[in-house]
Amino acid sequence: MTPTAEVLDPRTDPEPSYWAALRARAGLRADWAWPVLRAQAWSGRCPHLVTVMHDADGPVGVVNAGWVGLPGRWTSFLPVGARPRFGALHVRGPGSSAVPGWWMAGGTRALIGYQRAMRARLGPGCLATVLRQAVPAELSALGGRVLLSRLTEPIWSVDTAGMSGVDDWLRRLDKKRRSNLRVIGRKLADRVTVTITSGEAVSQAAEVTELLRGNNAKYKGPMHNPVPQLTGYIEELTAQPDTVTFRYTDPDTGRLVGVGIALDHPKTPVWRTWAMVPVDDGGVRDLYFLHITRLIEWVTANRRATLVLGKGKGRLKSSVGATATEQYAALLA
Amino acid sequence: MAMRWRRGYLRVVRSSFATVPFYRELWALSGRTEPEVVPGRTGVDGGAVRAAALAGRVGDLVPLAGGPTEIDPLRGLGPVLAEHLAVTAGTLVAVVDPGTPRPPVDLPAGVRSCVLDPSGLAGPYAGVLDDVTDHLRRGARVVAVGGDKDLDQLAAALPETLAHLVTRVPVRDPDDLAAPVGPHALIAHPLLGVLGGLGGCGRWHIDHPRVYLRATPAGPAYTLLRQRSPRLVDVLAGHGRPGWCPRHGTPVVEP
Repeated sequence: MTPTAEVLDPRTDPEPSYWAALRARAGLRADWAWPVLRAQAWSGRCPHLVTVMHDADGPVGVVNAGWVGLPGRWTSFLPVGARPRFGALHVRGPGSSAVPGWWMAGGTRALIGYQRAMRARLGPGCLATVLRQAVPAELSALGGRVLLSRLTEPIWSVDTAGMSGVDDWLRRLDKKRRSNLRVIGRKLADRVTVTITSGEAVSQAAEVTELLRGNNAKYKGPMHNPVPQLTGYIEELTAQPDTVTFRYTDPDTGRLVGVGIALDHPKTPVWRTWAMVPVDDGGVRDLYFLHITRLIEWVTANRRATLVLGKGKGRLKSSVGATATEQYAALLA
Repeated sequence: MAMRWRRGYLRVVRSSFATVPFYRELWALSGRTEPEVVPGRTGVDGGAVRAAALAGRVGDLVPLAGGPTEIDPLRGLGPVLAEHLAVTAGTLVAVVDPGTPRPPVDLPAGVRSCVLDPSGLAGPYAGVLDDVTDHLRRGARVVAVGGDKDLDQLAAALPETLAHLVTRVPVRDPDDLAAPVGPHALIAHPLLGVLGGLGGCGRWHIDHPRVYLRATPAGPAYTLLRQRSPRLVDVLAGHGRPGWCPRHGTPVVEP
């Protein structure tokens, strides 16, 4: 039987009854929780469509895509009921750009059925499908359907399988970085207090959002104007039981000086977000490195096999034991 | 008039939902009424928001296109003074307030202004007080705006022969409109600025070109119609209910 597509708009469609089971089966992290998808979809400038592929036995695949096209919006959210007249489906992870935005029980080739179904649903204005975070094996599976593919930024991850703890991790790093991280750990021990929570909406959501905005502003440019992180989205995300929030506060003033959010997974948690007060504004120098240490501590204590650190800062991530995985963006015909 | 006033409000609601993160989130996920922006979602308190809930959220009140983040507690002072006290060129407006960060910026052309901290009239603000005194000696008009106690402190600091020449304009919080007041007074809120003034008819008139007032289950909610950023829509403040002045045919708040 050809799978059928159920196209959902998280803004208005209620959470499907099978959603929790599908998430668990597909290993989808907290950014796929329905309340999180809903908050995110409302804060978008284009429609976010979640498509579930079904066969006779139930769901067999799920895809998250932004329906990006013209007319586009730069300074406003998507109006209720509006949609582009023509454009492309941008298949991406809903909350993290480090992981793909699809899962197919039958393998990547099943995306062809998804593309066909979406063209039928969106009409001739759906000109193409763009896949992000694809690996070469997935592109081979799609064969001649791949019109164009381009190498994008690699994803960095630390193999933590079999590590007994932070000391074990430090032993595997080069001497200079190891010594540097130990000095930072001692230096910051009294200067910041770290609070790690899961399944608890962060109490200083507005402060967290402000920090994240400051961080995003660094990447803002004439061609890149990301929608700011919204407080409600952060509250929903951090309220998920499989989200881990690291809050760094000044022990004397209680001021939030840094925040990191990780999305847990039985094998491969993802470091989703990091933001800190700039050092010139009273922030703590080297807090970033302390956070990496705390992440490794958390991952090894919970026996996860791999910690995904995401894109960028390759030299730095390499120095803390991360290795790169090639990633491609592909245009499907 | 009522329809035009309402149309202005609907424009602000639509624009805020489309471009301002705070209202996008609040009204999309919870909802609002009059108007509903997501069919079937009616929210809490009709989508109005308590001023305390906006503390630390100024960044969320800026539209996606960007804009200022400063809150001006004296916003709207100029137009309201011009409307209710016929303040004209040559007048000195003295704001007496321990917390006022800067002089008003929207006074009519030719009107000068100054800010005085009542606790510093004999110290750092002595020079400003001298300016006020000189102005009175010259026979020019001085309008003093501030809390009752602050205005009393200013009067006590001025020479006895001049103090009575000052036009006193006490400021009332929106939840303090029932208390008796002199011929002139303003409604002001620390977040929203100056919302209106006491009319010659004895009613509290809303500065309707710039402020919209709406009744919600939690009390009156004020909207700034012309402040693009930070956007302040349906902010709950004080008590009372909206009404219309039978003499002037313009909106009032009834204590």
